Amino acid sequence: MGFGRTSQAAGEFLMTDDARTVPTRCTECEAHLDFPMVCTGCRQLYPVPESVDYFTLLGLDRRYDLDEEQLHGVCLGLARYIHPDRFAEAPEEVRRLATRLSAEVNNAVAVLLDPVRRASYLLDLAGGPTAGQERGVPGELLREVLVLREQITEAKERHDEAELERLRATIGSQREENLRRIAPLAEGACAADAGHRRELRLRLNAMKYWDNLLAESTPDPLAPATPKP
Amino acid sequence: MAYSDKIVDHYQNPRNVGALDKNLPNVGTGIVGAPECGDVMKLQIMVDDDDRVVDAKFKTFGCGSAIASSSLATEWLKGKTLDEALQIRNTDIVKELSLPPVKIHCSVLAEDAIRAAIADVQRKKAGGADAVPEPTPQPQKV
Repeated sequence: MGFGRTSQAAGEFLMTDDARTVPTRCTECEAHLDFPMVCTGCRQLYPVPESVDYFTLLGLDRRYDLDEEQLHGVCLGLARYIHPDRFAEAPEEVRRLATRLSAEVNNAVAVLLDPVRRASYLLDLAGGPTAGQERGVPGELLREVLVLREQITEAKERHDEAELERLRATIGSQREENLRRIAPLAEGACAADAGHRRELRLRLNAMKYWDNLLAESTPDPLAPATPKP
Repeated sequence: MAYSDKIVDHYQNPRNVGALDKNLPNVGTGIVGAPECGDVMKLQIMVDDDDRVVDAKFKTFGCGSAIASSSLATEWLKGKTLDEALQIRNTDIVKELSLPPVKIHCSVLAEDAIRAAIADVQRKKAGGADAVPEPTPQPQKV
């Protein structure tokens, strides 16, 4: 097993579009690397730069439409090779590298498994705009949010569970609709023009408002039951 | 993180909560939101013929700092001319309420709301007959 040291020796490299290189062939056993951070043949670890994008890191195509089952499989498979417990006997330097790579893989999987974070990540890779740069939302969403917030407040004051349930259903389906519209925008984000990317940002900004409305309209399980007067 | 007494006071006893009739020609409405936290703020001003703010109301759905920022903003707006109102800066709100750094965006939201409300009433006054009528105007005594 070649985990005795890390390697940055010359070999075959993949040029990513941010002009950083990641290895594609193991310098120890010459096997093809399915993942840039580890050789699944001889367990050699590679110190992949933190700037390498999550798709490259996990050996996935850079697109929105991904197979969640496959991603789970990648995550479990990688853990067998890079989990720090596997390197308990290895030198300090290697254990540290395994810890860093495992943390990066965990971050990558968490972002890519969440459809909203995945879309947002793709938009960042495509050059934004970020929520800080473009703070808008589609159409008259803010007015709609205000009205729904008022209706939720009133329903809560009246302890009108049926109305609250109705509002929650409306909000839930509107949220789903927004997410459905994000999908095609995010799928094409990397090759999209500025107008297309702005549209995606507006839709992503909207998600936070829908999430808040959903949370607001969901009864707090810890709240004490209020006796009717 | 400790909140200042002023934040707590404005949060527990918010001033000028409510709504003005958005269809009146001398009422400006600003609705703004913060995509980072999903807070929404509506701030309205009513001006007299000399462009002086005679009334201000707000409704904010968000954290205590956002509520306190908008509550303070409505207090400051009353009695000011629109030109004076445009001088209100979010940093003034930060200072007055001693907002912690993570809540500075709440004061930015309040400043955005003030500007949006001013722009709305100025548009109405400038537009005159060109102004697009609201679908359901409700006559209301002021």
